[in-house]
Amino acid sequence: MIEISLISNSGCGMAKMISVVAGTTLANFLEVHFDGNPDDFKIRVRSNGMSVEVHDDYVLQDGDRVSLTPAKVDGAS
Amino acid sequence: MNLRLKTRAANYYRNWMVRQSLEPTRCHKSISHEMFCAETRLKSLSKWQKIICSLTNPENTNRIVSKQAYKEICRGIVNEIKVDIVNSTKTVSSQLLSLMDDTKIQPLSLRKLFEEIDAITKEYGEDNVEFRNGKLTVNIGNVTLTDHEEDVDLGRFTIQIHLSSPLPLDKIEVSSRDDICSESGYIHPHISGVQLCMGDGEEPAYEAICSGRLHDFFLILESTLKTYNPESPYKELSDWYNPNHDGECFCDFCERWVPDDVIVCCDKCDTVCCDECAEGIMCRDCGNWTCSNCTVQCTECLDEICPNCNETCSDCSEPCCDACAATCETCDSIICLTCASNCSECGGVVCKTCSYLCSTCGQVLCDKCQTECEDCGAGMCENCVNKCTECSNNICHKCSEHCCEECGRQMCKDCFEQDSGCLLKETTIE
Repeated sequence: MIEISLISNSGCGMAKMISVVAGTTLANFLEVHFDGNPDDFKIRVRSNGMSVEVHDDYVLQDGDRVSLTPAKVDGAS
Repeated sequence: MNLRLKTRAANYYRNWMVRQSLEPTRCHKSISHEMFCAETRLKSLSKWQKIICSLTNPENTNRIVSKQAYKEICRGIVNEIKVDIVNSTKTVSSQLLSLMDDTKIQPLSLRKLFEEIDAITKEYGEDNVEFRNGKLTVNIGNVTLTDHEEDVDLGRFTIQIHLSSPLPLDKIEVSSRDDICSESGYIHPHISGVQLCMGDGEEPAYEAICSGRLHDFFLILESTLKTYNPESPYKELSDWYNPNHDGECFCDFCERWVPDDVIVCCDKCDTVCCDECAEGIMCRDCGNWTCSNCTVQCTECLDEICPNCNETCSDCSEPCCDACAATCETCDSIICLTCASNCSECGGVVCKTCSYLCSTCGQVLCDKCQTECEDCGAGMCENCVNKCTECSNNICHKCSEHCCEECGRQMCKDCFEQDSGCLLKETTIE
C-alpha cells in the first residue's frame, strides 16, 4: 500500500492522507476518493517535491500529493 | 527566477511561518485574559471576606453604619464577585474546547517551501515569476470573462504577495498589465483598486497560505480572476462592452443592468425592475404591471389588484376585485359583498342606499318588493301588510286600528274615525 495526500481547495477545503494499492492510477484514485467532477478542477500532482505532468494514466507514487483547485471560483465585491 | 532567488523567497516565507507559529492564538489570548480577571476578582473577594469578618466580630466598636446594613451591602458585592468568577471559569472552559480545533501554523522545511516556489515558476513560466524586495510577483496569462452575452478579454494580470507578511489577504495586490478598463475605470469586475475580493476563494486561499501551499494559493487566485460572478461584482461586465447600456435598463431593486426585454415598469409609480425582482401583478384587464407598493388590496379577499381597474364600493368606498364586487339591481352601482344585501322577497342584490327595512319585522327589502303604509308611509314586506277592511288601503301594523274582538275588522285611521260603530259591539253593550 502507498500513502497519497489529497488536497481539495474548494469550499472550506479538505486535506487527508489516503492509503491506496500500489499501481493505482490518478484517474482511479479520483474516481474512488473524490466526489466532484475532475473536469471542473485544476489537478496538480507533486511527486518527490517536483510537479509532474498530469494525465489519467499517471501511476501514483508513495508520498505523492494530489491537489485539486476549482477552475471557477466566485469572487465578490 | 534563479536558484538563489527561489531560496531567498522560500526563506522569507519560512521566516513568516515560524513567526506565526510562535504567536499565541486567539484562544490562548482569551484564556490568559479570563484567568487574569478571575484572579483579580478572587483577590477582591478575599478582601471583602475580611471586612465581613471584622463586622461580625463583637469586639469591633468602630462601626459607622449598622451591622445589618453593612452586611447587606457586602453580601451584594460578594455575590457579584462570585458570579464574575463563575463566568470567567465558564469562558475558560469553552476556550479550552475551542483550542482543540484551533490550528496553529506549522512551519514547513525550507526544502518544501523551495519546492512550492519552484512549482510556481513551472506553472507560470520562469520569466513570469519574480522575487524582489520581499515580494513575489507572478504574471497570470490572459483573463477572459463571459456573462453569456459577450466574452470580454481583460488582458493579463499580475499578482503580488509579500512573503514576509502574506496575511491578511487584503494585502495581496492584483494589477492589470494591459489596463483594459471599464467605462468607470475598473480593471476587473471583482477588483477595486488593486484589491481582489476573493469571495468563495477567501477561505481556501487563507488555508493554503497558512499550510505553506503557495502554489495552490496562486491557482486559487487565478481561478477567481478567471471567473465572473454576476451576483456581486464591483462593476458589471457589461461596463466593458456596453457602457451606455444600449438595449438595457437598470433594475431599481437589484441595482443591475438587465436586458430591456425582461424589464417591467410599474404603471403607477414608474419603478423599473427586472422579471426576477418583479413583485406585483399583471392586470388581466388592462395588461399593465403594477409593483407591490402600488397595488391595492381587495377589501374582501385581500388579493392584490390593479389600482386602475379595481372596482370601488359605492357604499364603503373600499377597493374590491371583480370576483368580490356585486351590482345593485336597483341603481346599478358597484358594491362589495360586505355592503351588499339580498332582498328577502325576491333575493335581488341591493346596496345600502336602495335597501329598505320592513318596519314590522325588520327584513331587508328592495324598492320593488316593499309596500308603503298609506297612513304613515313606512315600508313593509308582503307578510306584514295589513289591508283596511273598509277601503282596502295598505296599512302597517302600527297604523292598523281594530274594531273589536267580535268582528275582527282592521281599519285605517280615517275609516276608523268615520266608522259608525260595530253592530256586534253595540248589541253586546245593550
